[in-house]
Amino acid sequence: MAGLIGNATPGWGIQLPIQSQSLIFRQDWEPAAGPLQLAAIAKAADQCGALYVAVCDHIAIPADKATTMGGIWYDTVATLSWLAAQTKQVHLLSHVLVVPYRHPLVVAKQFSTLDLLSGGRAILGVGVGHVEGEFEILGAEFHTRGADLSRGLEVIRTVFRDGALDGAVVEPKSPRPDGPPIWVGGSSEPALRRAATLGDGWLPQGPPDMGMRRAIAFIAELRDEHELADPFDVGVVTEPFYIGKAPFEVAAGTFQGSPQECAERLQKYVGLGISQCQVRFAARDADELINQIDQFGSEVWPLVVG
Amino acid sequence: MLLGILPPYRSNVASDPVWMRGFAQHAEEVGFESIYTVEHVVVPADYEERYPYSESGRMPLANDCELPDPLDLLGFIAASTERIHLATGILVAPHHHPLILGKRVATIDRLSGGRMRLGVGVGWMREELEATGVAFETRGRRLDEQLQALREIWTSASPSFHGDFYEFTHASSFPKPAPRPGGGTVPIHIGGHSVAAARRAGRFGDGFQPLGLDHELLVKRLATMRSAAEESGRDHTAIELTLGAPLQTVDSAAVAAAVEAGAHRLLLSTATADLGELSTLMAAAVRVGGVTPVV
Repeated sequence: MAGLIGNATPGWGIQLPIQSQSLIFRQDWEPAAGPLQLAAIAKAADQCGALYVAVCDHIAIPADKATTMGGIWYDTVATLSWLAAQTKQVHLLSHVLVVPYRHPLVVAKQFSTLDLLSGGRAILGVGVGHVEGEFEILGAEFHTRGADLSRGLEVIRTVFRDGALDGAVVEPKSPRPDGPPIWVGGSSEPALRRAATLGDGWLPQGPPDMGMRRAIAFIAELRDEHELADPFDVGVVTEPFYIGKAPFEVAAGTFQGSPQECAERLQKYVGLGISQCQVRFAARDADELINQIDQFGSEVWPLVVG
Repeated sequence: MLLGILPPYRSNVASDPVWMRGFAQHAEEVGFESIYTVEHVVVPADYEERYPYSESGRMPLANDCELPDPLDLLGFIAASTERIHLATGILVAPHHHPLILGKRVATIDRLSGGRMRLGVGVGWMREELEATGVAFETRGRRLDEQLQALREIWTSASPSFHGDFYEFTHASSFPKPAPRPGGGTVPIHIGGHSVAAARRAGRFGDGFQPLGLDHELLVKRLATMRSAAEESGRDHTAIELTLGAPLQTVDSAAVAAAVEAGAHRLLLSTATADLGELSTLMAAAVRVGGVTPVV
């Protein structure tokens, strides 16, 4: 059990558009786009050197969230498996799979399958979930979700490693001896603890209360305490970028600038000692997004890590 | 006769991406209507429940046979093919919450341009269902609820369902399956050998996939399926019948017998991972099957 990057040269990844259309964060062009554009964007990321493309996880949006989170959410692993067939190098990340919605044996089978089909490119990003009404709809327990995730991860790890649990066979095994790396999502203190002790990486969901710098140190201390010496992947989620001057109105907080300016901005994150940056781009359609990805991979990221 | 094909699970190639892509693309090219996947989440080492489709009571797969997730494998095949339909035959439905299953199937259906067909059964292995927390005795009632819930999830803008096992109100679930030319949604076929399976197919199924029955029992089960359909006010001739046969031995007599039994589709099982040999056999099967090409 080890991260992918640890202290080696950091990578970048994107949460894919179209597959998750929360009414809060989707861009205007996404509802009219479909599988064709989704595949084109993932292929662009694959060809432009991205470390990963990610797909979200929501099963059913309860009525009290319909006006904010209602909209389209593709199934996580089905979409990643479909993308596995259309990409060559990029890793396929669930960001994040809500393990407590499911039986961990099913999760283990799904990710072993994805890891085989993708030639060892799966990353299992996990979280506890946050939509109480969704738990209720699924008959899952909201208040024990943290403990359920921890227990689930033990089952998943065992199956990844042994291809079996308590005498029951769960084949096929992942092509990697310990299975896909597991990145634990969330920014609360329990999430940080879970990431440090049960994960191979941490996927923040927005800035943690204690701040990024302190959170990264906190994880490092916990790992020392538990004598966990394997490489560990610390992630960061950045603001949206537009490379160049956007000829349209971008969302508040979007960073616009030349490749050099974007790279300088990103170095602030990399300087925290992270392993991967999750970036996003402002765009008016899939073609513009693909252009941004292309420019980012060729002109911005080399400056960041150069 | 429509022809479906099952990969040779016993040869442990079903999770090999290069092999599966070649196999699926060849099946599509020679004119197979559909490609099938099967499911066991876990295989308990010493299962006591008898496998109902062999005299020994043991299933013809080694306990450590590689059985990749059936839906995620179809997601992969969807991107490797253009026309061939994607089917489970069968998926052990009681393992899955209908909202999760519904979302997975709807997503693959969208990604594949409406090529998905869901074959479901209750499962026969007590230990397997118990491993995912399902009481074996509840599996039939769960499946009955799932069938209704799945159609609600796939067709309603704001799905609600109130059953003994599944309960939700206004649970928004998008994407929906792709629209179909003649209306309708993802077809659901019922697999199994029991009277209960035949009745379920008659009452709720778009198709029936009886498993491992000799001629005499098959005739009985089809009569049960038809009378259950009539009792529910459904047209039994619209319920597709899928029968199984080995690819190795299928010939015009086998096809004629299946036509005689009322089959719409023959699902051919394979016993070798030699793609060259399979190609020859598949092309020959298509010649005797008189396949209606997939449009």
